[in-house]
Parts: sequence; structure tokens; C-alpha cells
Amino acid sequence: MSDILPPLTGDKMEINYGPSHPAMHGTLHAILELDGENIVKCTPIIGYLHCGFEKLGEHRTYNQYVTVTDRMNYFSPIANNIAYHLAVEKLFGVETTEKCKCMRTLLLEIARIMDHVVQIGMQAVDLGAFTPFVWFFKEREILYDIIEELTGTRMTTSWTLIGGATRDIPNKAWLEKIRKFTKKFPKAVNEVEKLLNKNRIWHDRTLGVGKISAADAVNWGMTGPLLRAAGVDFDIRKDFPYLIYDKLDFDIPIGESGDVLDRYFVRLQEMKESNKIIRQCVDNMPDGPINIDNPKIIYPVKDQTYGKMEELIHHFKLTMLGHGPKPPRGEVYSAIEAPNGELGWYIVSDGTQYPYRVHTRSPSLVHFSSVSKQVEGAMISDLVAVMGSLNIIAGELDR
Amino acid sequence: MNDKLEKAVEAIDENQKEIILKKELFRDDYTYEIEPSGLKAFMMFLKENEATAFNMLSSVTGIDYSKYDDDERRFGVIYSLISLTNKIRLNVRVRIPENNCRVDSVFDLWHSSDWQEREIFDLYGILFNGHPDLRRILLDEKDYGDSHPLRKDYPLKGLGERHNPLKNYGEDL
Amino acid sequence: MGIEKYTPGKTLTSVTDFIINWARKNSLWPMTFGTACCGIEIMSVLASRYDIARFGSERVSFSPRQADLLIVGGRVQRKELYILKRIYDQMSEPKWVISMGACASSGGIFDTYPMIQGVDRFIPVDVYIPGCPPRPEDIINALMMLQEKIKDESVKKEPDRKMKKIFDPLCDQDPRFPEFHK
Repeated sequence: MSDILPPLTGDKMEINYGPSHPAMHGTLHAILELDGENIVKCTPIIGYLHCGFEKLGEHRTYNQYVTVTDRMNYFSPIANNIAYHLAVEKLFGVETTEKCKCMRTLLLEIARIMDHVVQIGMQAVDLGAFTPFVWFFKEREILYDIIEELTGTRMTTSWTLIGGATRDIPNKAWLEKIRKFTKKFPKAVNEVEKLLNKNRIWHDRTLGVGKISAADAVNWGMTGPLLRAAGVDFDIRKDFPYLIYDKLDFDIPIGESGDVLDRYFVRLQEMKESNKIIRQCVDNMPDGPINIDNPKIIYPVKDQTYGKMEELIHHFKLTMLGHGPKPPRGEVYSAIEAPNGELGWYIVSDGTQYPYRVHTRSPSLVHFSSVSKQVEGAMISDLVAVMGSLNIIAGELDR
Repeated sequence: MNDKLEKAVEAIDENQKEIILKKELFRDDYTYEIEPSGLKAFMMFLKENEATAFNMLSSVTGIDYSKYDDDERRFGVIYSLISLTNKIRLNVRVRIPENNCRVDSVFDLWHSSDWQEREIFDLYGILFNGHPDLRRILLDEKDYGDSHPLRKDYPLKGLGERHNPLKNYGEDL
Repeated sequence: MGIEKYTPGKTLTSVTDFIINWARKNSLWPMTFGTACCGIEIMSVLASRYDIARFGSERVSFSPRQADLLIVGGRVQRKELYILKRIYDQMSEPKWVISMGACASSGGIFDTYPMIQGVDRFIPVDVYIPGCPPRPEDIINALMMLQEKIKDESVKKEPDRKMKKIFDPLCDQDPRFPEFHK
């Protein structure tokens, strides 16, 4: 690997913070140039999980591609499905029903809790504390059960369709389960807070590490909890509202200095705000159908398909190989506030049932490019803390 | 929020008339198509003018238009911008021909274009003038050589690079 | 294991086999090579609800020199295969491999230019787990199948390491005839 870097001068050492490492979250690779224990230069190398998602998008229809978007950010897969179909519906020019918007908001906030729970757990494991990981995973298993009742699987859900969803709410008891979860969740967060918030070792490892100023954060393209921890008040849910966020009541936590401890506090507070949003959605869930009534775009009701001729033809035209819903020619860009930052899709269509170009704006790619600026001059153990706080997910980074 | 977008569009129309080729409005979003030679000056105007004040570059996308329309300018690069102070979004497009695929890099204005421009170079072959470190980022230099996979004439299953990946294994052990 | 040096040619080793296999199968220390989504299900198996420590895999080692089971979970790309082969070569005998998920066993939904269509062309695999991703109960089932397989091994026999042919004309399009590519 030393043919891409200039030769070393003096007493410096070059090591591989390699693709297979216990503290590396996934297949990331960084070449470090060290002077004793301090890092002089850090060169990240990516591409170990590049699978050709964008090329695959040109050979699958709009409804088939959602199964591929599940595999990008695998900590919170439902958020990817919803973000992709919001972009496709903008291209088609359809609006979904009120019940569908409320369900999508509910599931987005559940995905946000799932992502932050794992991120804090893994960051604690990196720095030596194993207990928050096990306690938080218990909460994550309850959420897995809730999602499995709705979609059928734990992880790769593929739940959305253009103009609606594959499955409706199973029964009233499902909403009761979520309400019970929102009552117990703050106590679980409290237990972890008691372990970490005033812990001397946690503060020593994370206070003042990886500081970044507000102007630098905007310049390097950071979004999401990283930007808010640096002091900039920007959240896509409040500034470019989508779904039903403009009718809900929630706050946005903002940090001060942008170091690793601030990012931890911002994420912890965001989980509590998500809990509030979930409670509001469950209390005000509207009645009615979840899919829109447009047979050219979404499937008709199943028992009518077997009885009436027109519905059968519409079902045929949407599903069979070579057919599918066709949008007008044009290009759109649409983004949502995913747990990691701004997740957006740029879709180009040429009028056929296959997209012409599907490009993902992934937050991990933009965040990882700024890591060399945050760790120059620091020690190797600071690099471990910074990498944990950036929440780089290799599936989203390399696509 | 919509009137701020209208004010920004008016300011751009007044001051930068010469390099704008087309202005499109599709699903409430504006897209400007401009000449590639005037890209740097246009972007600097967008960043510094008060009515526009686009201080974050959200995404850079590359497209191969060879099967979309019959224009001889085969490639396109699209910049999506956000303004955090005025809360508006805008898209800017440049189209370049195949025999001269060079565009100015906007790394000096927004550092978030660093790795996204490298990715476009890797997958399409478009060169960026003024980029500090233009190398391949996702694919291997030794095995992929000159091929750029996202072009429309490259097949989905590849040209055989995945069949023998361990041919250099054992050289540096 | 070296025991063949100390015993003359026609010794029966049934009791030795039983004891050695019992010790090996109840203390398999995994090295988890989880690259993508299957890595999250590996994390769920290590957590408290589906606990793999009760089967003997108490210590998850991240160094290949101290592990004897390699769980390959997730999609493997050609750049990553180089690393996987190095890790497999660094493990010491006896070693076993579980190929977890559809992407590691046969390429999964990604039949594209950089993806390896199945890890078993380069590394010998003992147990395959289908699914995308497989549930944690499937992983525990695979571990128990591997324990059954270890019970039938013997100290005197060489372990059976079979790999598929590198080029399989049924699965791969021949690169010499591009008109069959789509």
C-alpha cells in the first residue's frame, strides 16, 4: 500500500488501521503516519464494500429497487425505504393518504431510536464499557418484534410502495405495544445515563476530542447530529418539512463545541424527542385506507383482483416482467433527515419503467472525508473515539 | 419560504444573464443549466450574494446522457446546493462533450465536494481541474485500468474483472 | 495434531477421538468477519436474547491467530477477498468456516461487476446458511450442525477441504463471449 504515499522521512512509523479491526465499524481502512503516539497524517481508503448499487438501479423497476435500498444503512433500514419512495413520489407527482403519512413518520422515528441506540452502544464498547451495549440491545429487540409484526422480517423490510405500503396495521394491539414501549423507554435511557453522564473515564476520553467549528462543519458538508453538535441550527424536519412534521411538537437539541461528548449528548436527547413524537403519532393515528386509489400506480385490493377483469389487467400491468409504472421525463432531488444526516436521492427518468440514473447522497461518504482534519495532532486512542462518534456505515459509504 | 426562493431566482436572472443557457422548474425545484467555462464565477456569485447565500454543497452527481437524448455533449455534472440562512435549495447543471471532459473543481469554495468528485472521476472518467488529489476511490487502479463502470456501454456483469481476483496474491507476503 | 508420531500404524483411536472432538466442539471461538447487514445479526446473536456463549463461544476473538471458527457474514467484493484469504491463511489448524447469508454463499441479489459469486470458490466452507439475513436462530442451528460434523472427525485423517472450481460455466458468463452478457 505504500506506493500511493510519498516515502517517510525521519523517525516516523506507518501502520495500517486495517480493514479487519475490532474497533473499526465495518470494512474501513486508514493508513496512519505516527510520530510516537501522535498522528501526523491519516489517509482513509474506502471501497471494500462497493457492490454496484447505482448500476443495478438502471436494470430494476422503481418498486423492485427498494429491496436494494434496505441494504445501504443496515442499522435503520426502514428510513432508507421511506426516503427513496418520497423521492420517487415527487417524480411521479402523487400525494399519499393521511394515514400513510402518519405511519411513515412513526416508523422513521422508530428507525431513529434504533440507529442511535446501536451507535451509543458501539461507541461505549470501543472505549471499554460493555454494559450499555447489552442494555440497549434489549430495547432494540423489542423494536425488532414490533417491526416484524408489521412487515414480516426483522431487518430487510422493503415496506413501502409508490403511493402507499405493502401492509397495513395488523390489529389494535400493535398500537398498544408501541404505547407501552414509549412508557418504558425513558427509564432504560436513564439507566445508561447514570452510568456514563458523569463518568470520569468517559469525560477524559471524549471531552475536547475531535473538535470542529461551526464554519468548518458547514464547509465540509456535515449534516445531522454532527452539525447540530457544532452549534448550527439546521434540521430538515423543521426547515424543509415533509410528511406531518409541521404539525408535531418537538424540540431540537443543539450543542456547543462539536467534540465527541457533545455529539453523545445530542444523540441522547434526540432519542427522548423521538419518543415524544412516537407517542403523538400513536395517539392521533387517522383511520382510512393506507394506499391511494390510482390503479395505474399501485395495486388494487386483492379480492377484487380475482373477480373483476379490469383490476386483473391493472395488476398484470404493474407486476409482470417488462411492465411497471411509468413516470414523466425529468430529474428530481429529494432529501430527508435520516438518523445519520441528510440522506437524499437524485433520480433521472426517461419515461420508461426503469430509472435512467439513481444516485444516493449518502451522509457517511461526506463525513468520512473530514476525519483527517479532526485527528491531526491527536493520539491513536482519540482516533478510536472520533471514528465511533461519526457513525460511518460501510454499506452506505461504498454503495 | 417560497418568496425567498423567488427573490433568489430574480437576483440570479438579473446578474448572471450571459452564462445561463436554460432555466427549468419541475416539481417546485429550479434547475439552471450553464456553460462549463463560467462555472467558477457562477458558483462564487451564488455563495457570496445576500439574496442567495448558498453556503453548503449537498451533493454532486454525474450522468451519462448518451441514451437520453441526441446531444453531442455526452456527460453532465449536477450540483445540489442548500442555503442554511435563507432555507432554500437549488440545482445547477453543466454538460460537457466526450472529447473534452474537463470541468472546474469547486473544492476551494466547498470542501464537501472532495470525495464526491473523486467518485465521479472513478466511475465516469470526468476530470476536474484544480482538485488537490484526483485518484480512484472505490475501485482498484491495477485491475480496472481504463474502464469506467457507470458508463452506458459497460455491461452490468463486468468484463471479467471478478473472475480472477487473486492473481497478485502471494507477491508481497 | 501430532499424535500420529507417537502411535504405531494400526492403532485404534476411538476413545481419543471422542475426547478430543468433545473438547473441540464445545469450545468453538468464533472470529466474526461480518462485513454488512449479516454483521448486525451476528451482533444480535452475541447479545443477551440469543446468547451464543451458552454453546461454548464465550470469547469472540478479533485476531485470527486465536480463533478456530471463521464466520463469513455479508457480501464479499473482490478487494475484500484479498483480506479474507489472508485472514484464513493466518488461522492455525484445526479451523472451520461457516458461510452465512445468501451473499457469501452464492452472490445473493448482487450479480454485478465487483461481486464475488460465492466465497466457496476460494475458501473451503463447512456449513452454509441461507437467508437474507438469516435469523439468529438459524445461526445457532448452523453451529449445532457444525458440532455434529466435528463429532465424526478423527485424529488420524486429514481434514476434508474441498473448494469449488474457480470458473463455473453454469453460474458465470464466459467473458470471451460478450454477446451473452446483458
